[in-house]
Amino acid sequence: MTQKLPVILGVMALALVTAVLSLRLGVRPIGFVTIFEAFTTFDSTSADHLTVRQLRVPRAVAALIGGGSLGLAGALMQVLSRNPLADPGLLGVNGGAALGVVIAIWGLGMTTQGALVIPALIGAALAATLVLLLGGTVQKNGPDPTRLILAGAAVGTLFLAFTWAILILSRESLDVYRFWVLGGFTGIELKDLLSLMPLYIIAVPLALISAVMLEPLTLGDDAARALGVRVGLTRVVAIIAIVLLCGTTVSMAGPIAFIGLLVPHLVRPILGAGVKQLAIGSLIFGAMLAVVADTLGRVILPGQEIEAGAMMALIGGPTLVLLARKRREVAL
Amino acid sequence: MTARLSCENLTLSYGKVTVLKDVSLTLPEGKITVIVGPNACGKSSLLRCLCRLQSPSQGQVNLNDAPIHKLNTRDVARQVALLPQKTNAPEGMRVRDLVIRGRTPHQSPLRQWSLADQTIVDDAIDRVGLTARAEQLLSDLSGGQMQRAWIAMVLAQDTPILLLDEPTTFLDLLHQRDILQLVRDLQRDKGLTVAMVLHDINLAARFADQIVALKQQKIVAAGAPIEVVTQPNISEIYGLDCAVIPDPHYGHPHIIMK
Repeated sequence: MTQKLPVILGVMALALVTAVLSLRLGVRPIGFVTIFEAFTTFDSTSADHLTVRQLRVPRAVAALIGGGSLGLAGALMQVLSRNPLADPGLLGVNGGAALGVVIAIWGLGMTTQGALVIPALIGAALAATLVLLLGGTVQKNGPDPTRLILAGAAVGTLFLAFTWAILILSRESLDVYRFWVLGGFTGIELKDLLSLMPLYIIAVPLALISAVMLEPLTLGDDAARALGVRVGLTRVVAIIAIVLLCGTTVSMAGPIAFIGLLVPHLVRPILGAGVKQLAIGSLIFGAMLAVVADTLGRVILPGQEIEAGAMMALIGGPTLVLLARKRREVAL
Repeated sequence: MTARLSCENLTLSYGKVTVLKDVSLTLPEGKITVIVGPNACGKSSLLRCLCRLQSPSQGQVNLNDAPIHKLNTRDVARQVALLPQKTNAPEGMRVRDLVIRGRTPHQSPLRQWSLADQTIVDDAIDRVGLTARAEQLLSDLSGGQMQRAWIAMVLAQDTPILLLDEPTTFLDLLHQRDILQLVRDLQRDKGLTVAMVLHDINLAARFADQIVALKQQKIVAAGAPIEVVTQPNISEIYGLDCAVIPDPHYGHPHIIMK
C-alpha cells in the first residue's frame, strides 16, 4: 500500500489542478485574480464573475463527478459480470436516455442542454427498470449477469431504434441530438448540477458499499454462498448503484464513451485485484480523466472547443489498444 | 467445538430428472466421511445440499437439529465450510488475500478486522505450510500449493464442519496423498467433522472413518471402509470385477481391478 499511495495522491492532485486551470480556459479568457475575486468579492454585474460562478465551476465539478461516477460504475460492472470488456452502457441506460432526449426535442421542442437533463433521466430510468425486470432481478437466486447483459443489449438497441425513427422524421431533432450524443460538460449550469446532486449523494456511497459486498463474489458463486454471502442481494445492490451512477451522468453530460471501460484497466495494474481498491481508484482516475479531457478539448484547437466525449474517444481508443498490446489481462 | 449435520429423506430433482432419492445420512462427529460412487450418482449434489447451496425438493438437512434452509445464512457459514470442486480466484490475488476471505462470515459492519482474525489467518496459512509463500500471487503457485491455499481459506472460516468436493481432482499421486493427509491431520488436531467426495476408492478406504457409497441416486452401502469396500459391493456399485486385498502398509482394504 505504501508505494500505491503516492500514485493515488498524484492522480488526485492532477485532477484538482486541472480543474482549477480549466476555470481560466474558454471562449472568454479570465485571469486567476478575477476568478479569485469571483469567490471573495462577488460582483453580480460582472460578466466574468457570473461566467466563473454559473458556468465554469459547475462545468469543472460536473466533469469531476461525472467522470468519477463512470469510472466507478465501470469497475463495478466488470467485477459483476466477470468480464473485463463490460461497460456500464451495456445495461441499456444510454439507449433509454437518448430516446428521452429525442422525444423531448421532437415532441416538446426543448433544445438547450440543461432542459434535456430530466427527459434523459426519465428515459434512462425506464430502460434500466425494463432491463432489471428482463434480467431476472426479481428471481429467487437473483440476477444472472449474462442474462442481464443480453437484456441490456436488447433494450438498448430497441430504444435506439425508436430514437432513429424519430430522428429520421425530424431534421431539427437530429441537429440537437448529434450534439448531445457526443457527450460533454458544456452548458451544464449550477441549477442542473444541484438538482442531480441528491442522486449522486445516494449513488456514490451505495456503489462503494456494493464494492465491499462484491469482494467475496470474485471467488465464484459457490464459494461466496458457502461463506454466507447473499449472492442475489449483492448483485441487485450493485446493479442499482451502476444504473444510478450511469443514468444520472448520461442525463447530465450525454453518453461519454470509454471512461467506464478504460479506467478499471488503468487502475488494476497499480492497485491490484481488490474490489474496494479498484472501486476507489476508478472513482479518482475517472474524475481525473474526464476533467483532463474536458480541459484539453478547450485548448487543442485554437478558437474552438472539442466536446469531452469526443476528446475521450480520441484518448481512449489508442490507450485501449496500447493496454491490450502491453498487458495480456486486458486481451483476455 | 462440534456440530451435527444430517439429512433425512432427502430428494432432489431438477424438473423431471431426479438427482437424489430418499437419502438419509448423519455425519459422525469428529470423523471423516467419504462419499463415493460412479459419475452422476448424485454425490456432489448431496454435498451441495448439506451446505445449503442447493435446496432439496423433499426432506431436509439438519444442522444441530434445526433445518438448515431456515437458518441465517451467515450462522450456517460459521458452522459449515465448503471447498468447491471448481475454484477460481481473480487475477492478481495473493495467498493471504484469499485466506482473509475465509473470515467473511465473521465480519460485519459493526465487527471489523481484529487481531484475533489476523492470528487465525496466519495460523491457517501456517497449517497448510504456505507461510513462506503468503505474499505470492496465486497464479504463481503449483496445483498442489493452490489447493493448500484454498484449504487455508476454509480453515480460516473456523468451522466445526468441513465439506470438500473432490479436493484431489487435478493433482498428481503425491499431491493427492499430501492433501488428504493434511485433511486427516487437521481433522485430528481440531476435532473437525469432515465430509468429502472422492473418486479413488483406495484413497477413500485409507483416509475415511466412514464410507458412503451412492448408486443411482441412492445410498447402497455405508459404514467403515472394511465393511463397504468389498468385492460384491464394488461389483454392484461400479459393475467392476475386482479383487480386494489388505494394503501392505496399513491393512486398509485395497481394490485391484481385473
